Amino acid sequence: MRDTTSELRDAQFTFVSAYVRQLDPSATDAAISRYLAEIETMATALQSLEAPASAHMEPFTADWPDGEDA
Amino acid sequence: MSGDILSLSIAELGSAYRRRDLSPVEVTSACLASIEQTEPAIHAWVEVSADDALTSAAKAEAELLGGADRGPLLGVPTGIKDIFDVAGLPTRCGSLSRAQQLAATSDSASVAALRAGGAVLLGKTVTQEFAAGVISPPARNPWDPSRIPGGSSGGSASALAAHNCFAAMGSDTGGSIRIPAAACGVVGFKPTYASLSAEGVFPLSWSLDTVGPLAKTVADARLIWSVLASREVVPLDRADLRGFRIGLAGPFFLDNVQPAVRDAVLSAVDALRALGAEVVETPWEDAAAARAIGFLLNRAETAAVHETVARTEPDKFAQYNPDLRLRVAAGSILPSELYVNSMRKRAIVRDSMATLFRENRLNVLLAPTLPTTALTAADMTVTGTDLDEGIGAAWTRLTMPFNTTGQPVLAMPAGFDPHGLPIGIQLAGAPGREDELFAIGQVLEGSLGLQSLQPAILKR
Repeated sequence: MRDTTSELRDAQFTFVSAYVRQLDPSATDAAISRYLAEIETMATALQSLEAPASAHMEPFTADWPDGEDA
Repeated sequence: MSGDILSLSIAELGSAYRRRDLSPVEVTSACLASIEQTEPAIHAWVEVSADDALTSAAKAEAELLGGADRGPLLGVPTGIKDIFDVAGLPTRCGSLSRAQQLAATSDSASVAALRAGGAVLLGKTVTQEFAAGVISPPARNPWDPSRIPGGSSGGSASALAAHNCFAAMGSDTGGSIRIPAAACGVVGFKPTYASLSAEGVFPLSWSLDTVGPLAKTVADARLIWSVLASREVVPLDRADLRGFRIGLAGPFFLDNVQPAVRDAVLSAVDALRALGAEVVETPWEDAAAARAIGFLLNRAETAAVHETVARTEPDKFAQYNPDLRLRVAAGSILPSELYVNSMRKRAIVRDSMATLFRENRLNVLLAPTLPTTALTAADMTVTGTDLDEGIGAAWTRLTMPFNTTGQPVLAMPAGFDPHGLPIGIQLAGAPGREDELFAIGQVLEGSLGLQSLQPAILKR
């Protein structure tokens, strides 16, 4: 059985490290791996929050919805 | 005597000015002497404009003698984080890449408001490079100069803790006002997102950047904020907190913190209850998602701020620190799906916070500011939290969720660990209800009675 997660992760590392090194040749594999691991952790947390398909991007305002004030 | 002067609150300083017991020139001179004394140990300042400060102080003094009064910040020595434009000074943003930056030709909106209020600008305080981080080198922590002050507004917090100034400005994108305030034992206030103009402040992440004050006390922070926001300060008319409901955030905010931090939060709960407040446990299930949203927005937008330099000015980009170079380079190809869904879901977590407040009838939500006390600059390994985290992730873990919601947050000292290092708590309020937040913070601060404790550096 193919380990697609592992293959995707490898492909992502190859792509990201190639791009990063165009801008910063001194970037290390270890630093890039740590960065990607951090992004993956955050992406997982983001994906765990469900959003209806109708939830669209909107300009952010800190105001609470009407009637929600404490 | 200068030590006593520098321990005064802004309100006490103002009263002394108006009684003519003290003069702005005398107090500014005391601040400049304090900077000279502590700077070799704490490195909080990028640039001190002694002559300009004394000229401003003399002007304030003349106004006071002439009976003019521009309000609570008249003649108050103030430090400005070096990402804010101050006319006549370069905005170097803590970056070697801007070492040759020309002087700004105009003030940022915040600095203009402070100047209009008569504040005496002492100079620029150290920031983490482009406000992207929590270490703020070379600044150090006055409570133990072998330790970091936090960041990115680390110089402002360090300068206040060392009594170099009475007010300071910071910016908070993932916690950069509250984090150094907690690490240095001072007060920091992140106002409601977009309630104060960030014009003239070098951006880190446009949809999160929030400017605000740091101060030695809650009342001082409130006075500075009132000038920035053009708000009248209503005198505090209560000595207790009867009638208020405080939510104790958890478990996201209380798990994975050092035991001393948890103990300090629980002591604050006891103090709140003793003051008559009702404290209820209010888990916020979306805290981890809120943190992730803030983190991802920050990463994408920071890359957008700097990607032109990265692509077109390689020599300049090479002068950025390695962590920031990676953050910009890799952030430039962050999957767009993550940014779009972060934007979509941000409103959901904001609304869930509103629901948490409504369903529990909360006035504020209480949480620790940092999971640990200040780390040493030589070994910034986060320990005692049962998590394997870098300092950047660990120290923004508890603050970032409130950047995502955009609500106002007051960070204040709540105790000390066994090493004598400050521990901070944060009180998150409802948007636009800053007065209530300050009132609760001020009463709690009086009850905790920590203000008389000072770093050893002040006793030398």
